[in-house]
Amino acid sequence: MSTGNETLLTHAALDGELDAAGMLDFENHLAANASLAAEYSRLKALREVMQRELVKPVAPPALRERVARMAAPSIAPRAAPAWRAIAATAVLAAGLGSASTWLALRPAIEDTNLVGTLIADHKRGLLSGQPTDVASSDRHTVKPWFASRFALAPKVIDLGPQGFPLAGGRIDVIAGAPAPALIYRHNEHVISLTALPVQGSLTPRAFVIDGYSVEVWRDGATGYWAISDVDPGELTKFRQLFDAAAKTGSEKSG
Amino acid sequence: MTKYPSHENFAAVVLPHLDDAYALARWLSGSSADAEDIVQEACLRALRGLDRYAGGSARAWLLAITRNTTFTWLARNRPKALLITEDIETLAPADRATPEEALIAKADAAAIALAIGALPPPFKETLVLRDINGLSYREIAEITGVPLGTVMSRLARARSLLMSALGRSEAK
Repeated sequence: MSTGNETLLTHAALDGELDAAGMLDFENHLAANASLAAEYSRLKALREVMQRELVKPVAPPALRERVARMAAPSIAPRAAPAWRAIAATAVLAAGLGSASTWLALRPAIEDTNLVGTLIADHKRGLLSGQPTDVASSDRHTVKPWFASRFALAPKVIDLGPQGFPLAGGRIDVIAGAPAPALIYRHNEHVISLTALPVQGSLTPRAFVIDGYSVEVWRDGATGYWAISDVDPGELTKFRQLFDAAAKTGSEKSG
Repeated sequence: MTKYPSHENFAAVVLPHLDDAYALARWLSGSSADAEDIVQEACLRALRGLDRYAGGSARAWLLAITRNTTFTWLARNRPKALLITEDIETLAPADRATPEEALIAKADAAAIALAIGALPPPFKETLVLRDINGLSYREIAEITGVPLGTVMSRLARARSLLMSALGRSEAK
């Protein structure tokens, strides 16, 4: 390790940017190098004093109000979706979990080329080497993460014990609107599960396109699209497990 | 596909990250009044560009717009704030006399703010995005449009300059 690199690694270690192997390596260097250890302590002191002394500026209420008003043209048109949401909630309350009501807040989607878009999003996630925007197998982390970004978060179910551990969540853009996608892992494969509101009919189906297995099903007003490069049979199993867990309400309080 | 009014999602995407945008603009501009103008302009740009929001972290997306808006706004209204030395990456470390850990720990808010304010813009923005906004190196690289290695060296330089400045202010 050159001196320049050591300096950069010291900062990366402090910032939690090293992986486990890198951190182990760094700690060995730290133990063997007194000046590096001193630098590390100084940097920690700097960070602590910044955290202690600096108050993160908060946007003034007047600014927040002005920015919120930029979205004002939406207030009138929003009346309709809001009404739909209430109506949908009433219908859903009959048997479905309240987690589904978020769907009613966004317009329904047309199926035209939807699968193509979803596969593109899935591929983009894989290509970027970062299939998740929030990486966590804990649905108590994933659910609030979505909740902070959407009015109502989608159903988050962990199927880890059944061989499909939750890996995190991602925000895709479907028809110009952000849409939540759950990411699962199965062995070395990644499964993207997108939940969208469905109005009208949606035919449950399973097929393979461009080498990707696709499963489409619905649960009340929610349509589910699962995309993965696993074998079609495995994805069918995933669909069955998710559907069963969703119906027995194993999300619990989420 | 149907094109929805972008206003529908604007509040959901932008408002949760307004404090972050304001904090970034506040530190980069050094003025709360300027930061308000900058963030308002950044949010207008975000509203117009909402169709181009390509998923991913909404916070990083808004901060990228805020960062760019800050620099165009400062260039237009406060040109002196952006005077920087050329070849900033190759500058020799300013002050190798790094102060003791105890001295750093004693620094107060005013001294730190002064020291951050004195950092050249590329170092300042990297430091603020990391230590105030808490972004990852990868996000900072994307927002500032430089390689990861440059983010790392700028951050190291920024903190080194900061520590030296804190040592000096204490010594006075």
